[in-house]
Amino acid sequence: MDSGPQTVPKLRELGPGAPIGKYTVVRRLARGGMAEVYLAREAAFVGVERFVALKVILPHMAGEPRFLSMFKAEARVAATLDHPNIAQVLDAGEVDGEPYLVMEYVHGRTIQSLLRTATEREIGIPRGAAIALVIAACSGLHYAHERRDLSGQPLQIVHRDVSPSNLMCRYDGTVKLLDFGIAKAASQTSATQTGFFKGKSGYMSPEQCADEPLDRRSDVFNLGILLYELTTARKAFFGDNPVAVINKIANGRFTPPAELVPDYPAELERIVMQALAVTPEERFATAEELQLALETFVRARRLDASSTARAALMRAVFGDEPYPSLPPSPAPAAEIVTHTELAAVPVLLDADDPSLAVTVARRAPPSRKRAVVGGLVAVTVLLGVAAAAWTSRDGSAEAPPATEASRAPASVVEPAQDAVVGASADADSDDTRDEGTLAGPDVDDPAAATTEPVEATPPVPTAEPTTPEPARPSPRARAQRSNKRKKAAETKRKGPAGMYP
Amino acid sequence: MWSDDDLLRAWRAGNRTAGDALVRRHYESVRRFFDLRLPAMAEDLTQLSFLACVEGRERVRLDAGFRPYLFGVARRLLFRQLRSQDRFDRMARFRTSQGPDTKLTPSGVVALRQEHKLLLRAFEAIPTDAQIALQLHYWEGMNTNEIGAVLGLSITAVTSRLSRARQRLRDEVEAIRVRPEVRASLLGDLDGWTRSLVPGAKPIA
Ligand SMILES: Nc1ncnc2c1ncn2[C@@H]1O[C@H](COP(=O)(O)OP(=O)(O)OP(=O)(O)O)[C@@H](O)[C@H]1O
Ligand SMILES: [Mg+2]
Repeated sequence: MDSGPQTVPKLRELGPGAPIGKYTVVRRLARGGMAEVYLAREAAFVGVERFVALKVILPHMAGEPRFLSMFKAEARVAATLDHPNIAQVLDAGEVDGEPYLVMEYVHGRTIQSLLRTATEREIGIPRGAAIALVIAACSGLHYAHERRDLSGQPLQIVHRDVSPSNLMCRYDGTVKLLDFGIAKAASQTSATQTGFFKGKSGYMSPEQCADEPLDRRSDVFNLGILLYELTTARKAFFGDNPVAVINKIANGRFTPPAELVPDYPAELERIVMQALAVTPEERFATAEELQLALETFVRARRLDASSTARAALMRAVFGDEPYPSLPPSPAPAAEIVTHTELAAVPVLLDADDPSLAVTVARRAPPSRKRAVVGGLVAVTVLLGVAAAAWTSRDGSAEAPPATEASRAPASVVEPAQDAVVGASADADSDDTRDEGTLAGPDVDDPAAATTEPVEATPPVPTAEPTTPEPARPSPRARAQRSNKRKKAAETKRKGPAGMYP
Repeated sequence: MWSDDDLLRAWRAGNRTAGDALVRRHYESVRRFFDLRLPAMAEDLTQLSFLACVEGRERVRLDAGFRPYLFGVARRLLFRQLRSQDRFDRMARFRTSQGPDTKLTPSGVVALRQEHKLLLRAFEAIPTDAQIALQLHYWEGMNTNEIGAVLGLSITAVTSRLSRARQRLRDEVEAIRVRPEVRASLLGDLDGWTRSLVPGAKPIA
């Protein structure tokens, strides 16, 4: 367990050394919408130790019975899947009522991280490597789609959440699908559909948008989105709000790839269009058909779609990332992190989350991520709403590229930069802009605010004047609104008038 | 209780407390006005709207009251934002600083009534000024005179604008691919569902 004053873990976070079942937390890898993912090591049993990824459900989700049963179903289905392109589920359990899943540790990055970092660093993704990623995803998905139970009945598994954040590429080029989290045997789904909305709005199929029963062709659509995004480096479906995105998906409204990429091959565009057909009947009938079309294309064009091409891409974008390692002796984690030769233990210094790498947190100025979270908390208070949920995607999955600077103990990301990033009136960047808006000029200063400065940092009179009453009047319930809806309105609303819970 | 006009005058004269009170009184309404279309920017745009009111001394036209003036400002800010040229290009790019924009909820699982979902989709599909007319009517409880002041329309024009907007909404609800029982339920009480989308909606004028 943790010891010493600096090792006190943040609330609800598992610090280094925390035991979970027979696993020991090394550091947090990322935080998703419904879970936190940790790098952990499996206790030596007969002398063999290995790293695993622990996915621990966040308390706000763990409290939802429907989610819990979903999580358990996930574990059961996922554990039966055994394919090189699917991150193997190894174990599942519960600590203090919080369920967790143990997976194969994937030493790599998500495709989301790849797309963002490549864009940011202006690195083009070679077409061959891009297609190779999708081919591997096709392969893993087709395997799952074809699964049968012991009596030979098709399980009709649909992943339902094939998205850039659920597909990883290892630094060695191996591709792994994650989160058959909401994959369920299709037979179970229709009964539990009402009122629930699954998936990320930019990564849903038209059937999902319409709350219709899904089959494997829904996943094929999502593979089409991946293919589109990896080969154009642009989002296929985006909008000002989630509902706008859903309407675009439902109506098949997206920019044809050739309009974005001048030399986009017509044959590849045909493949993308077929995968993204609004009507399932018009798509590739299986992920394998899509895979074959892509393989044919790659061969005809003599593109390099090997796993070494993928590895080269990962290296080009992220640099060399050593496999995690710990000092040989089974020393307590608290000692490890305060060890003086920290530079020799990159896994601890390169932590995405400074709050877990104790030494980093102590030595370095507040990192960008911490500043962001702090800002969000401030907003939560300001608005008096349960915006905390939105902090869940604090971007901690997106570690800075593995440069010398980011690995050094005193890795500095100036908070001032955050203010700049956050200052833009950008529809997407609300996770980083809070401090900028809170520190606005005083209204009494006539020069401080122009009449309609929409493009600039919106100034605020002061933090206090605009603070609405912290306690919202309890919503007047309408007869039609079910208890569930009311509960959701109270617990999940983003803002005082958030229409997209 | 001070009237909106009194508070605005006092705020313009430098009384911050009056400004606080005025903002507090209308914050939630303006916020939900922006939340429908631009949830990620709603807070900033809301604050800008109030600032524009207190700064825009010369353009004061309070004949229909403060609220229509405020919403008129908000509407202009909304349109300006929607017109911004690089908006789509920015949204289409992958960026590291990306927030939760592509996620419907943190959990990816929303307990939202199907009818509300369908309604939001229909709202999204109709022209912006039709949206605004319906918002002001159903959620802000404005009368035709006030709505006219926001949109710059005569009372008769507002009446027909509202009925056309309602028809557009209905048409969209008919056109969206969705389970028939959800559609039927929504169309059975379109007014009721529209109002229930916003818990703090003001009584219809
Ligand atoms: N087996 C694994 N090995 C290494 N990293 C992992 C593993 N599983 C997940 N991660 C990391 O954890 C992050 C969070 O995963 P999580 O599934 O909780 O959230 P998400 O994929 O962003 O959203 P969603 O809730 O929709 O799945 C991933 O994006 C990835 O960076
Ligand atoms: Mg995931």
